[in-house]
Amino acid sequence: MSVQLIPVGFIKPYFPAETVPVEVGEGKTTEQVLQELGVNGDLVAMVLINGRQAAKNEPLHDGDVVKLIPFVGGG
Amino acid sequence: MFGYGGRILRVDLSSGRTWAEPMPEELARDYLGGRGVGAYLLYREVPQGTEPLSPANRLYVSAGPLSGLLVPGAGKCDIACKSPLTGGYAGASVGGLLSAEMKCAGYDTIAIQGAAAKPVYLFIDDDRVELRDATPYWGQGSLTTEKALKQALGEEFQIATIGPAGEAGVSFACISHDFGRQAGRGGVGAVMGSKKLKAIAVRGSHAIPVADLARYRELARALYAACKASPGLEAWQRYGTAGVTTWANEIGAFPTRNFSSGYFEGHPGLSGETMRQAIVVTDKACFGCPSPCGKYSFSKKHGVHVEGPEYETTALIGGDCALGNIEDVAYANYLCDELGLDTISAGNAVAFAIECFERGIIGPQDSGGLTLRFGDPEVVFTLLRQIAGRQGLGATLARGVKHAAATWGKGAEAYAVQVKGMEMSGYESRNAPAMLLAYMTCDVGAHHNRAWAITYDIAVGRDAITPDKVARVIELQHIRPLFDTLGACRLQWVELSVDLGHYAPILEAITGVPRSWQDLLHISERIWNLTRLYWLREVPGFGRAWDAPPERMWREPVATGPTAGKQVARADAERLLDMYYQQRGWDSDGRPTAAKLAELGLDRL
Repeated sequence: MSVQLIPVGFIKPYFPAETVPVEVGEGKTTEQVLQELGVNGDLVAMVLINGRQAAKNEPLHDGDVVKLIPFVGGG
Repeated sequence: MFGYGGRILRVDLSSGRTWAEPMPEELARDYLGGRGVGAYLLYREVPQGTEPLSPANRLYVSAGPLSGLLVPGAGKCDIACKSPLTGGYAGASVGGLLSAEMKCAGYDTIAIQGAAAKPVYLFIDDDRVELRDATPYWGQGSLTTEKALKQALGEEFQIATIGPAGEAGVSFACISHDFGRQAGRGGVGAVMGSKKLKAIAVRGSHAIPVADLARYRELARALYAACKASPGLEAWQRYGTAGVTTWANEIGAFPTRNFSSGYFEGHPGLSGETMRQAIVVTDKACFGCPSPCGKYSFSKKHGVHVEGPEYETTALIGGDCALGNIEDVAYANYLCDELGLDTISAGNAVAFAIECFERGIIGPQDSGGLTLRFGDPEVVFTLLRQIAGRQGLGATLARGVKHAAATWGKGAEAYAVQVKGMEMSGYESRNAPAMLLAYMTCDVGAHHNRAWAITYDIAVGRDAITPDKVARVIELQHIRPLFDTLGACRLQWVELSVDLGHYAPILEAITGVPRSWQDLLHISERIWNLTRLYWLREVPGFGRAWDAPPERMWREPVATGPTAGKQVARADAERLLDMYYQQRGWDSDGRPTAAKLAELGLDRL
């Protein structure tokens, strides 16, 4: 199945593009996908799957759009 | 005393007398410096029931033991007084170079009492201290005054000044420094204005004594190396706090239209990337900073230079007033800086007025015929000028949204987003209980500076209301203000993840006094409880009700965006408070227990 990753803000430099299409195995989680891409999952604080708040270990589905929200300090 | 300027400079504006006293060693031992010393002196020296804008109030401008030394951002200065905005404790922090210069002149704290008969400024050149005529500067903007004083005295003088808002006693007037840095919150500028003190100009030429020079140099080198090695440095330096704007919208925490929502559809026009492209000229750093977050900008549209906009300004003037053009936010930022207004409270006040107008609570008869609407930059500029001059609607708004809501009535209280009378800073928290608790319990009012817990909410589950979240808020309330006590910047830890383990050893090398990180946190907890005692002493009936969340947070779910429909129930806010008081060793009305005071050495106050 294929999903799209959209890194937000400070973690953009860890990805090749603003939107990253990836082919992943059935039932993989965001955490596992990041691991396969060699991105440290601890950089990601929260994910939004199709705009809905979700956990990093939630299984993904074909066509999902996954926004990756990093940890930030915020002043 | 190693690490200290060694003296407190006393300034009595009523008599015109100035004198220096030795910095008491036990004060440095128990309260370190900066915020700790300011809070202690305020508690001890300003009589109970003092009117904030009367000569009896005092202003404490304090450096810390790290100020002026080789520690990142060690120009941080803490300014304490009784707040005209809240009636309680005000402690405002400003970056730049002020505290470093004070230390080199041999002063840890400048303690200002009384009031002058006509405008003066305080001139300090090492031991030479004078009160000079400030009549030519009175009425001038903060940026204009700072420039004029630098031209008159010399570039190496560091200047802190107020603008027209401080002169007029606006309850959220700030003290400005270094062309765009502010001790912003709680109305410290109004207290300075009430004393007819336009500015402080200081130059110092002494070295600061260090206990173990070799060890200090080695530890300083390691600390700077850690900053430079941080993977986060590049992005942080490129965008500064403006990098948070996109993030805050993605998580639905961006104050929008007077906190009715946590998502602003116009946010791409305000993002760090947009700002960097459209207006940023160069980076700007504070004293000894390896990671400059300040952005010096020029708005072509409005023809002004400004430092910023910093995230908080973008949030409260951009999102909260629904301005989607970074150039308009930059101009409003410039106006606030020149007029001497805290952008956080000012943005809130404008957004509150617009919402009250749209809801019919106030009308054209109140606004002098002006139609107030969200998204109109001219409305924002006009109201900011009116607030600073206390004219038109500004006369009411100048005392803060809590007061304005009480004046206007008709249910306006429900739209006044404040805690303890202080307007909320830039994180919509209806889907972030730890962050909401941080706002509820912050010791100056609804400010994020003491505990920024929203990342923790996100990491452990946003809906969860757990003892862990409460514990994290308390932990942050001790760590973050500790930096304001030490006189250095916290952002290398917050943003670059520099290890906290660097700080106790370098403090020890500087002062020669062995202290563990735990010892320092213990002092920070002492200060936290002291400011609580100050509120209890000064505000009649102070207690649990003062820690309640803003009404809007529990009455009304978020309107739009990723957190749409979310809110923290009133009963859940009370549960958070129960856990918080219990973990702090306070009673159910939020009073420190006798046992807690004894543990912290506050029973002898």
